[in-house]
Amino acid sequence: MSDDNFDRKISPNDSSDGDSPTSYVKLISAEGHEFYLERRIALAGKTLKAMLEGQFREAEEALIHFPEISSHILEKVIQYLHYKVRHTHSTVRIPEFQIRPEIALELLVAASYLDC
Amino acid sequence: MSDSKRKFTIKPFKHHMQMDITQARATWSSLSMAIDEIHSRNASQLSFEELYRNAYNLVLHKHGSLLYDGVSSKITSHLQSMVTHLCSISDATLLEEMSKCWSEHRINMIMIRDILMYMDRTFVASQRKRPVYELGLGLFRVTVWEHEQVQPRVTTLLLEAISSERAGMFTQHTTSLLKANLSMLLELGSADGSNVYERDFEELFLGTTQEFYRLESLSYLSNNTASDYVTKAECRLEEEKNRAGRCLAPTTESPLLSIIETELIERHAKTLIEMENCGFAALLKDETKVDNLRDIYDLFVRVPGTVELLRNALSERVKTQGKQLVFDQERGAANPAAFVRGVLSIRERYGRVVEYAFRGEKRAEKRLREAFEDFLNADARAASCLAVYVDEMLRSGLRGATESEVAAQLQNVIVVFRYLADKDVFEAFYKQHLAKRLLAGKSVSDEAERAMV
Repeated sequence: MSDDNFDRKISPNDSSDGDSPTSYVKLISAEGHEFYLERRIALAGKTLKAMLEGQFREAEEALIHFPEISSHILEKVIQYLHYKVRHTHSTVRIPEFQIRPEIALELLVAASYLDC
Repeated sequence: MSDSKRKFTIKPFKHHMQMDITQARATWSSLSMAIDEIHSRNASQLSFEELYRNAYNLVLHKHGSLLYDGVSSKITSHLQSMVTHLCSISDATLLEEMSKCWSEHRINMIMIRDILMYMDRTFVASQRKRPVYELGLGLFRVTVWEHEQVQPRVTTLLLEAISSERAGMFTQHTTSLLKANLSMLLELGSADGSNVYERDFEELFLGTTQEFYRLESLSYLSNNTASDYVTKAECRLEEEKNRAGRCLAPTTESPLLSIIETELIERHAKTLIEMENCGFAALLKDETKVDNLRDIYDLFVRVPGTVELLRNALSERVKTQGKQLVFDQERGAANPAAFVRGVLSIRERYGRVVEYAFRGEKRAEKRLREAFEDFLNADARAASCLAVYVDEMLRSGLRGATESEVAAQLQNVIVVFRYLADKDVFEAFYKQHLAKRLLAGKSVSDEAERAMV
């Protein structure tokens, strides 16, 4: 579906292991699609960060359900987080982040929800 | 944006049902239960996303006030049961319980704040309410800390803990309790701008500190020599500074040390100088006690005004000894050369005192110089004595001396010469002696003569 879908087997995360560079978290969209992304990328979004570093279920399982966010929107959000981490503190000209106008509104709602 | 030629349709916005008040209350009630779970340390079973979404929906559908007020009263009621619990705790474990309750409350507030992040960002900002975390701390202050059966007891216990440390009973446990409780006060104060730390602790602490050191300094004085007192005082100051760094707010350190210095040093400066046999003035008389002098100086330097008293003592001592020399000279008990040697020896001795005990302080040097000028110029004899001394030196005293020894001796003479006010008197005498020497051909060396000139 997207570049961010990794097929490798992920070992269970315990929260104390969360700092190792190759640990991953799983996000599940409204339609049930599972997206894996690196923990450090996920932490770039404020709400995601609070969820993953808090003391609730999500932090323990390194897994977050988003029953109100569609797959195509969630995918775009994850793409954005990669973009953000890649280009933060960049000293050269940053390429534009392309957004198709059809999804702009929904994306805006999701961005507001997720504070990123 | 680059595909503007292509026709596109905007997908219909997902239809959010209007949330009426019944639904809102239902949503709130599930959040309310979740907060209860948080308070019971059962949060790990809850889904952050779900709670966050509930809060988000409430705010989105204009039920922000319901949410905010609901949260506020939930926190308050939890705090009320907390304070009831604290009131029933005995003094022996109160500090510890307080610290635990505080720590729990902070953790709870962090979790509650996290799930209500959306409300903080939007509703709170636009309605200018206090953000959730600060609200929680403010409620803690009002409900728990300022309870009449909590605050007075805790403050008393904190002061007692410090008293027992001062009496020598240190434990790691006490220290960490002090630190925990005091940082609680600091955080409460900064959350809503109330001055709890200053009002409920610092003021009283500074007051009791002053009392303590007032009494302790009197007791030290009556049981110790000046030097022992100095050692004890330095010890105390060190101890207080350490405690301030470890447990108290950084802003407390400076007024604290200043109070202690006033009580220990400033109040008793005179006594420490004049103490019989062991005060500063007495120690000046003993050549071997320069270390003790320096210790006293180091202590007094903390209160700059008191060092002046030390300099006075030095000045007095030098003048007294100097006048004694002059007196001996008058009586004819000593010859002129002895007088000059006496002056030189005092100078060397007290020069060392200034350099070592006063750490080479410029003002002390100045006072030393003034003291010499004082007793040397009180009497016209000084000039003539010096001239005689030089005469003797050039006639015979320098026989067989090396160049450097000659230079050193002459240097000494110059030193005394500088103190003389009536330099022309000396000149007159010197000319007389010089003439006699040249006529009699009695000089030891021409070079020495020339050097002198």
